[in-house]
Amino acid sequence: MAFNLTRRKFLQTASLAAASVPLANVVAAEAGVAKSPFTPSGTIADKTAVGGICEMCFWRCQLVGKVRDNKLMKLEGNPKSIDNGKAICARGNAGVQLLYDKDRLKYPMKNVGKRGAPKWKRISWDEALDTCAKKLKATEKKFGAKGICMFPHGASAKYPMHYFEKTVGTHNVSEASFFQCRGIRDTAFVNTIGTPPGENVDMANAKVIFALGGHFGENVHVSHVKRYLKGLENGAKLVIVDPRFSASAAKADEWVPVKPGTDTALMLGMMNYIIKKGKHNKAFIEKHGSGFDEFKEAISGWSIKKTAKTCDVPADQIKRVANLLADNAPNVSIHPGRHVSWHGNDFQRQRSLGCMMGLLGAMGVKGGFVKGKGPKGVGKVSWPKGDHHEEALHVAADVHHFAPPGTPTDLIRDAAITGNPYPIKSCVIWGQNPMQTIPNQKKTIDMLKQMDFVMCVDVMPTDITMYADILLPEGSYLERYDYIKKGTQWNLSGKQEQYISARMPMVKADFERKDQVYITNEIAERMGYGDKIPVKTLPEMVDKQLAGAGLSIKKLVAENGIHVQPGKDPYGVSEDLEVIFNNEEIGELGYPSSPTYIPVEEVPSGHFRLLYGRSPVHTFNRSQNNVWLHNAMPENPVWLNDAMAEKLGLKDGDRVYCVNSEGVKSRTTTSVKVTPGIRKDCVYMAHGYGSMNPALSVGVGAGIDDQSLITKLAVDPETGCHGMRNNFVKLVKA
Amino acid sequence: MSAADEPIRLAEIYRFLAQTMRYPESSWFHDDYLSVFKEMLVQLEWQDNVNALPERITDEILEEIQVDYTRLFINAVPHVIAPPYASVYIDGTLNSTTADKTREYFRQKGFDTTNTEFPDHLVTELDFLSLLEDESEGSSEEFLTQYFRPWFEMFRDLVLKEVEVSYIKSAIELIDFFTTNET
Repeated sequence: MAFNLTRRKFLQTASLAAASVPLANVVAAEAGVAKSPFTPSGTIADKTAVGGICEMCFWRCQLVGKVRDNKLMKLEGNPKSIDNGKAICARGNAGVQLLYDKDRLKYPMKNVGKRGAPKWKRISWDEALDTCAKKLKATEKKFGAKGICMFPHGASAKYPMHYFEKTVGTHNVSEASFFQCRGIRDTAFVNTIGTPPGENVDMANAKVIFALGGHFGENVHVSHVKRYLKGLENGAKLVIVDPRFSASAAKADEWVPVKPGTDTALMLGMMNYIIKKGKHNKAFIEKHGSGFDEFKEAISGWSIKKTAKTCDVPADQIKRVANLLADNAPNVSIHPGRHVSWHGNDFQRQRSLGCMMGLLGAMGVKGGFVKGKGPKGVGKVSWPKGDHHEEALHVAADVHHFAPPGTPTDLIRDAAITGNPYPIKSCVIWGQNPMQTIPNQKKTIDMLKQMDFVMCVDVMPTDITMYADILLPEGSYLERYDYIKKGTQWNLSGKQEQYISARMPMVKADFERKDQVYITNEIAERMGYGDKIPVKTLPEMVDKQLAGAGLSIKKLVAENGIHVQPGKDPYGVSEDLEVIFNNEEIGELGYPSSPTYIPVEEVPSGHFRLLYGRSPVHTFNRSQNNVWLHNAMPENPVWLNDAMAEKLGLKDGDRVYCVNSEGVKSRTTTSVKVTPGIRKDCVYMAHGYGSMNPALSVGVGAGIDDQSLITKLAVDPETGCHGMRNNFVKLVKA
Repeated sequence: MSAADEPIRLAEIYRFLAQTMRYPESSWFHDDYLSVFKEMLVQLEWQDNVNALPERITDEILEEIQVDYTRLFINAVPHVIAPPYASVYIDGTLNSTTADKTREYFRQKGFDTTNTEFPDHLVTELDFLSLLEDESEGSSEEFLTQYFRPWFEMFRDLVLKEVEVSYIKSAIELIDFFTTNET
């Protein structure tokens, strides 16, 4: 290379006359910059964008965005909110960083390499959509709609999920929010008190707050935490049942370090004790109870002594807690939990929580289980249901009779891998990262590798996107319309109000990011379902939904993003409330009709049970690449009991690998947190760390991926949901 | 003197350099374009670079360049090598204060961006340089020194270390050559 030639010399002497065309002919006609009248920066007004609804987690706080020169500078709680108010959490604040994350997906891409080791090539939306539709249609033609499966998650996935489920007609849809999280809770409570409970306990006005494993403060859902803290401020006693001294346990009057997996036994022992002492709410049970005598008989063997031995909890403490609950009933919050897919015996545990509510009459009263009375009228927009007659896998197999909506994940995965009862050859993944949500990553990879086609739609290059053939970039929650959030004021005993809000973009989407209505409609059109399209745009969808309540996007904007109207007293229970203590329908299908403790596998010698939970600054894996949040908690230390640490020769801060009882070693290391605040038989770490996709340049390899160690599958028989705390690990010094 | 014999203006060079960093697509990335690109290298007497380039643009060659472009500048496994934005090198994220300052400079000179791309994107900055030179020869030096070179040098080093296709390597070297301050 002749670097002795200078630029000046080149300009004086060079000629491109030998080229086949003039220089000007090969450059774009339009430049990215043009003449423009001078606008002094000091004259550019800041704007407040209203109508933001957070989705850094799925509590979905109401936001406003501070926007300068079309750029989002800051997020705050919407001052008009009667839910989260002006407060948002660390994750909510860090939404700005997500918006401008350099690793975010920007353009449609095609994988010209292999699944798992992709080589990406940017392609046009037309090519991407043509390919998706052609491949999906080919699967539909060859194998029927059931040959397509879908793993959706989040608000943007609902519209495409309904397209594939209702219009195309596949049952093979599995949401992590149900099958690896809260679905068990919902169906257990539906079959106990007749309604999914949400987290609707009136903690702010409770005399006692009781939770199995709820680690409020580490799990930050703003209005929920406000209720919890208000309750403590008002003098509520707190009982936290958790093998670990969590942030909540640190505030508790009673920390019950239960042996993992035995929570149901604890509930049965306490309920039996309360009944034996005659402290149950007889009048409530007389009026609203069903099958109480059978239930009473079924749990009668759970003496305090047996419970204490099973749960490894002192008998006196069990009595103390039972008395505390009964003596303060009915103003007691029995928390239903949220992420409850723990041990594969979870339906029964969740039923026992519902029964405890009934036993204490802690429903419809201050401090009890109370659902706020939210606004009516918000409509639904969905795809039309086609003429389909297939049965879902679990229905055809006559299993998991209490599964939440969709199909149990493992049945889809097993069918895809084995081809039985039929092949599943196309996979649509929308906003979910099954690599981190579903236990046994190898099986997930095997499932994907046998597919004829895999498409992913996401905001970030999560682990699962490495397996896509076509990868589509979606606008984030800060760049699109969609979710309608409605409810009541956070403190149920406060001034009774209702609110309706709709997600609105804080800024426009950059690059070629598109929304779910555009992507789904374009695919539907190309697959021959164009005549079924329910709305043309996202704003149209939101306006249609709001119209039922006499609202529109325009009206909501005029009301600073949130419509507030007078509410209704939420207290009291309906005459027809039924608490089904002994559910014969459950019994007839071959499951225990009264809540029953199903023992879980004991910890093998030399191992610890692997427990996981939330970090207050992350939403599992979704936020791992957010550098602001990463810096707040860069890895997930493994909690280890101090006596066990001494025995193993490990000190606080030592680096370790984890190796599970099936020989799977963690890809990365993390530090040890030596503490007396955890039982000797288990270790704990925050979930979501240790991403393997190097495209997440911040989150990759940071801490240990606990999901990679969850290789032993436990499936809750009633629901088909996963239990993910039945794996055992050793710590190996790095 | 025919038009072809007239000296090449720096403004034209910058416009051409901006083109080299656009995503290569068949609508413009064809043999005529390659001919001009090669001739530029010939005039610089960069024969090794010329020799490394393909004879013609085939579909396979275009895809090879697209894949490397995507890997280097958009998204990739392992992670995107060198996002072509000043903000990433100065502040560690996209659309940061560096992008704001860049836009502010554009405005002070009577310009603004016309599309959805951030102002501190390599192509946008090269477009801006060409407009400055169009208005007044030599007026690009301040922007080059204060805004462009500080991040471009970090970007250039990353790309030259990781690049796989000769076309992108030469394009980066061309940009480096024409934006180096000679005063």
